[in-house]
Amino acid sequence: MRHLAAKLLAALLVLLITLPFALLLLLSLTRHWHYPALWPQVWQADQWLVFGDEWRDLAALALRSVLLAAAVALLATTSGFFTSHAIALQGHARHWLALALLPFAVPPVVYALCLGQGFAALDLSGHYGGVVLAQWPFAYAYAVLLNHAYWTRHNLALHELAMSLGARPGQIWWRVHLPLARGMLGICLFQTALMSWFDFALVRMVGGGRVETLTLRVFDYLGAGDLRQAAAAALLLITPPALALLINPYLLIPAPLWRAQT
Amino acid sequence: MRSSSAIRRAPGQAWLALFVLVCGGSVVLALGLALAHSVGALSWPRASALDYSGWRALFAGQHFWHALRYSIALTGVTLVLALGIALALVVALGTHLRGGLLGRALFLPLAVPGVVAALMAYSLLGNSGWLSRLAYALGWLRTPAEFPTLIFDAAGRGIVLTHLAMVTPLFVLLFERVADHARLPLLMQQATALGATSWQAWQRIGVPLLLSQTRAVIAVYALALLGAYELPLLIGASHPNMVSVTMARAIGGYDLGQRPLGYAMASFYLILLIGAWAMLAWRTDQRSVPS
Repeated sequence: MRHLAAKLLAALLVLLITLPFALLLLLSLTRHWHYPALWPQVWQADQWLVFGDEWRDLAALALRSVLLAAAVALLATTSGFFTSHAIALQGHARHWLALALLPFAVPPVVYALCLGQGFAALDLSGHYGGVVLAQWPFAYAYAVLLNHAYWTRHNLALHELAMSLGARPGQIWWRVHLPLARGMLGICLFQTALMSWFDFALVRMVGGGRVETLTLRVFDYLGAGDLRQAAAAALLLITPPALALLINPYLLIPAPLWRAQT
Repeated sequence: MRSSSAIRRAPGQAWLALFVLVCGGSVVLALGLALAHSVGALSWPRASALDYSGWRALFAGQHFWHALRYSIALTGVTLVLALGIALALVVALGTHLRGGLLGRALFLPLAVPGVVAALMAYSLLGNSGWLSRLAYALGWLRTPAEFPTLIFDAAGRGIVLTHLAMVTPLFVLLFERVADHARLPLLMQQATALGATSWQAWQRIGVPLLLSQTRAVIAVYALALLGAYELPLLIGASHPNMVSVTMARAIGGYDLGQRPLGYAMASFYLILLIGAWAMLAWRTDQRSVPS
């Protein structure tokens, strides 16, 4: 009996969680959907075809968003991995990790508001480079938190061992740590890329309207009241994380949950 | 010849310096710039004296304090509801949370950024949204106006509901993992074997254990909810609204006269957040066992 109730509750929760996604899909395929109809009265795929007509524009936009995310992810993961090693060698690792929490205490929008004019003064606003720099501290701190879990006593000892066997630093990183940390680095790259892909405040304020991403595009459509177009763009936006979920849910687990697990 | 520890440490120091500079320095720089702007120290042409009108307006006016109280209230309500629901679900569902469709579905909200959440809220909770249509089809409403206002709602119910939908699954995942890691089912079994009722076991062991283990994570999410921007910008009322939106309007709005006030708000808020972070770091430090 209790088992059955739990199953029912689980089914209800799945329904509740997936309902908004289903609604987005319906919206993106709607032509007319007047109140109080529960289903669209007239369907159309034009929202998607508009993307087709403007495919150059959209493809360029998606490509720019991907490149921006990739740049942030590479920069943050590389610096985060080396920094987490340096931190693991320190006696008071948790003091250092506390510093990594600081960017999470400050919302990106406040950060962007305060530093906005600074970026402008250095001629960095309105550039992709400026946005990468603005997103870096958040992604970097995240990468440090995530990669800290790699530096177990065992992996630190492997470092020492390789060193005492005469390996050069480059060889240690390339031949020992890269293969061992491959899984975690992959997760870190994906998640820091996602931070950039989903970022709104920093792109909007530091980008100054000249840096466009898919997230901003969804905002613009929604602000203009075009729900159908916004729904289509939003579905495109959440495709990468949704695919990741299908492949491996661990790609989406936030760093604090990793720490709770290991 | 250098000792091995010196070789090991030298490049490490550079990374640590970079880390301090990027993660700590950028926040300090943000605060410094906000403070400077709030008193007009960086204005052009240069003023002959510093202008404290922004700070006077901050402390004399109600605008910022209203927004701050509003944000704290919404965050508090969201957090209490989310934690309560998440704990109840972990108690009720236990192992059903792992695997199966639900195990995957719980991750779905992690794939939703604020902008998309706003769109979902808009099309689900709006006056002519899907829930309103459903209520109409069930005969509970005669016009869309009878549906409770959840979007652009001054009471912030739409914001709370949407944030709730975004963070509750995450807390469920978190609790479920911590319970597994701490072997909670075994502890509970032991408690019931010693004569505790199931309710007592949860009340005295399960819930305190889950909450104490996740305190820091909950605090970080609380700060994130407090500073939420996209969602209240898109589905919040024009007044009152949450603190990030209020600051962004003052600094980025057309009225340049509001800027010093906006920067004073941002400086004050930043000091508040840095204080919260310091307290959080200090508390975690006190609690953790020295390694």
